[in-house]
Amino acid sequence: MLTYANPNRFMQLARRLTRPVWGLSLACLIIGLYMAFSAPADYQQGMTVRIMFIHVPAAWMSLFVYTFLTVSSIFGLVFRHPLGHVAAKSAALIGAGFTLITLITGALWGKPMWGTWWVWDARLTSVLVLFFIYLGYLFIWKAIEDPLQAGRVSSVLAIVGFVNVPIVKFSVDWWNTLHQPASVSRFDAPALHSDYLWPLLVMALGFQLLFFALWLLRMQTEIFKQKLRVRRLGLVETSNGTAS
Amino acid sequence: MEHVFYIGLSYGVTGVILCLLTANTLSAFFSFRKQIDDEFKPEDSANSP
Repeated sequence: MLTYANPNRFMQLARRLTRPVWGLSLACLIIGLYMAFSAPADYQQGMTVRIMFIHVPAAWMSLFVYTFLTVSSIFGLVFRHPLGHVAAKSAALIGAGFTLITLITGALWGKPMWGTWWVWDARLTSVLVLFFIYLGYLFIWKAIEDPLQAGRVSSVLAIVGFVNVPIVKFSVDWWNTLHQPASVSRFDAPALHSDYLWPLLVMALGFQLLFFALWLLRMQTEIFKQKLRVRRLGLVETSNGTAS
Repeated sequence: MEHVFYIGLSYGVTGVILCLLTANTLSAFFSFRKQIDDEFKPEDSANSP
């Protein structure tokens, strides 16, 4: 792992991985969509159960990406890993996108099933808070020009904001919520029939691979930006030295 | 018929968000890669024998 702490080695690996990961992701998403639309209607939810095949994987991704972002931030802040802040920054917008998908598809499922777009219960509210933390994190990178300082400040927010992740996960167990408890990630067997479980898992794999495909490209873009910044600063210093 | 509207909108919105994310990622990647090529190519060609 640490071999790829070097940006040049990481770039070599990323260049090799990007296309296969994109291909696998698209294949999984196409197969997952086919399985999702072939799944039978649920006896309670009817056809609306199909929204679950994107809502649940997107919700898993919103938590996974935030955990990834926090771990990367710890590597950047505590261990001064050269790619820590870059990895966290590259993941943030993708995580915000998945969280937005979770919120919108949840509301679109809630209206026909619960009779309302939104309720202020613990699960829904904590996911909304997660979305705002993502936005706050992205705002810090926009607002602070110096990448070192932006990395430090955003990492502190990411680490403090991680408190919200177990709240999102266990809110349905800790509080009496309208949102149903976990059906797949349970200590005993999943409470889902295989007709629904497999499309869900394939879509989740597709989203996971799509995240890595996008993240690899965003990482390479951030490394390009750093290279250009260092070069331009060097050119400015050289021209200042020549002028004086 | 009502469920078709909610399912369609869910998949449509998801598609739009993922396409926007992909477009944003790809445009930034190609734009910065071009800048890198433009700035470093002249040096590379000058250094090569």
